[in-house]
Amino acid sequence: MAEKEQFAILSKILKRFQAAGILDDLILIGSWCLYFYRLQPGSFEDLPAVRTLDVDFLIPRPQRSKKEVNVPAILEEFGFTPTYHGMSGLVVYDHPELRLEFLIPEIGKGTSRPVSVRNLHVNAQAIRYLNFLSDYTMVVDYQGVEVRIPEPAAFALHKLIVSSRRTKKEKKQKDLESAVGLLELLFENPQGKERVLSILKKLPPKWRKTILAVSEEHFSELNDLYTSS
Amino acid sequence: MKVLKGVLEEERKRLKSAEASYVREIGKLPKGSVQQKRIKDKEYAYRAYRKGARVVYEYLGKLEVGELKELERKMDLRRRYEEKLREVRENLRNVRRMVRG
Repeated sequence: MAEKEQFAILSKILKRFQAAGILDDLILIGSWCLYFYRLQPGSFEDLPAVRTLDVDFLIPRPQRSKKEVNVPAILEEFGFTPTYHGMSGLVVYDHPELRLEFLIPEIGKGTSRPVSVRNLHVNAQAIRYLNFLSDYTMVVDYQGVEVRIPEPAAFALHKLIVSSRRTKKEKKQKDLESAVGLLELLFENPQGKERVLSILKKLPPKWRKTILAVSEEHFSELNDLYTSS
Repeated sequence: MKVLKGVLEEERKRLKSAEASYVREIGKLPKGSVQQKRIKDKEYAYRAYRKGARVVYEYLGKLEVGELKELERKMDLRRRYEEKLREVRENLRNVRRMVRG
């Protein structure tokens, strides 16, 4: 698990996706975002560096473009192999150092089956609450590549809400640690606080209620801010 | 510490499934290399691969350029996947060592 190797592969993939004209249609989410936040000037250098080796790409709904690109063929060039998940039809892409997965916001009643994204030749796992990550994004420059990631405030609130649905204790704890770590840094300045509040207020009331129920126990400053606003 | 152990365990599972995926994909791809022999001004293709201690030359006949390229691509991919499989197994050994502490 050579860290240098992981970054080198990720960087090559991002460059290749950019050259193929699809990077703008993908949002890098998951624990790798913490690494990109740490690269930003400001107060994010103290973020915990723990991340999984899963690189998650979110495909927004609706898609920004419908450009036809054979993504599995690109990944094959880098030595990735498809890994099939049981009977569901979900395919993820494995490499000795990384796993790449495609996710898509779940809409309507939802389904346990993956969503086929035909123009990219991939299946994406539909997951609830992902649309608010795609609603609040920022672009960071990474070695000359423009990578779209969720804003830290949206990322933190998303981690709070997904932690409420986790059944595995360790995953729940990891979500909460990421969320609280980010919120503590965001609350160090008025703009950060304001951004968290503004996103929180725009969320559907049910989602907001869930977030505030989690934060009550783990980061009550958020509840104080919301009540006083 | 618990979070770190969880991450390592997750990675161990991921590497196990990656190992199975590489083994499966390698099994679908031809091994060896393509060799062309010129006989009476005509090119004939052979697939050379090792079977135990000996090298086998399998006659493929006259191949179109496209067919030849596709065969070479698959053989090259197999070599790349074999290399990745070795890396996966090495990583798996390291992760197991770390999980045991």
